[in-house]
Amino acid sequence: MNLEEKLQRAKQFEHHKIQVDMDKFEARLFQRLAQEDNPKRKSLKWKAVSFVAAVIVIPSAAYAGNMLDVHKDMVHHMQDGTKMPQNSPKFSNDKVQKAYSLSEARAASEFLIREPETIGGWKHDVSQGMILKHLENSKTSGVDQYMDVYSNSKGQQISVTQSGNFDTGQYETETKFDENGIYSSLIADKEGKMKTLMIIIKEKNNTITYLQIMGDASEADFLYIGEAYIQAPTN
Amino acid sequence: MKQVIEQRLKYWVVLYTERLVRVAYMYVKDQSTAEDRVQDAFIKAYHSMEKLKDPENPFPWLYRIVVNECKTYQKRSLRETVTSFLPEKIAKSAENMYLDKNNRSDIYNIVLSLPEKYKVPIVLYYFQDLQVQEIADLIGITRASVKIRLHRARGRLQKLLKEEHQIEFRREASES
Repeated sequence: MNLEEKLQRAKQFEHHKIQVDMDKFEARLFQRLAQEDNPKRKSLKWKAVSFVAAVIVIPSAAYAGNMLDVHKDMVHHMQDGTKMPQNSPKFSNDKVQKAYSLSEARAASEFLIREPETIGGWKHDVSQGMILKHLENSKTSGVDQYMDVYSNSKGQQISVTQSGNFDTGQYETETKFDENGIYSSLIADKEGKMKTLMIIIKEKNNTITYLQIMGDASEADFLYIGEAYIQAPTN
Repeated sequence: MKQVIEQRLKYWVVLYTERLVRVAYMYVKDQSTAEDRVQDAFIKAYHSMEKLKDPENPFPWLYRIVVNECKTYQKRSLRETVTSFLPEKIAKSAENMYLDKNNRSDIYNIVLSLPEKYKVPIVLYYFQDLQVQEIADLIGITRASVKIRLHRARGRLQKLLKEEHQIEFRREASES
């Protein structure tokens, strides 16, 4: 086979391989444009903050640990404290001491729990508040974290974990919140597949809410889901 | 006016998305990332449609926006720094290498490994079915320069394929 024939054959192979889900692509594009057109929405300055995680030490004593057991062996600790999934998140109830529905979790939780009504293109597989077994000072009431797991038609999965912290002092000096009281960072692995989006929100009642989104979706999906959570109701 | 711009954008999305994703893939080598870059490019195009000089033929303009988006993305070296903490993700497992080999056409990978000045004309000519003149217009060089680059790129490809075959041959010989 000569070079021209090889290139023709490779073309057929590659055209077959790269196929875009046009409905989803178009829906996502116009959703992004609609968000830009809405002046009431908070500006996250995503572009500016997406790649700063390496230079900011994430102050996160309470943040560490929670996800690790739920995602069991699938998470790397980065140098800055951020965790990176190796594979798509899989939800396991093994480490859950007590589970709550959304309304129960909201009633019991000391932190605000955000829950978007729907996320276009994503199926809501798990939605659960929990007290975890492994924590040293195991609680008998309250909520350690609230977890949502979503999947899409491509077989991609993401998890969204919410937890809280009430010692806000350190964040004032160490975390670069934007004018809306939000810090966010998106980190991807070298292949750009597995990603972690961390959002820290300084709430009006002076508490801190953490949101950690992990999985193998595209960067745009992460930003879309992150935005959905920031805008989501807390009651 | 806004409705007109949106209608035009919708038309472009239907008409050019797949071609533009393939262009982006040539730079970023990952489909999800390529789609993200094309999304960003369409949003830029939407906001600067008044700059489009030839509304009848928007592809060259969109192409350049996509390429710029991909190059900007690649320059975000901090991402590489961050992810360098994950050595196991850098070194491919034997299983991944096997999957790569069986799922991807070797020659396309070799094309993507060429320097940009050769990779781009080859991809546009052989994989996007563009004519020499169209390629010249897209990347802003003369028709003659495109022909020269295609010729040199073919030469490099032949050489790289030959080397690849020799490595494969030696490996098979040592295994048997």
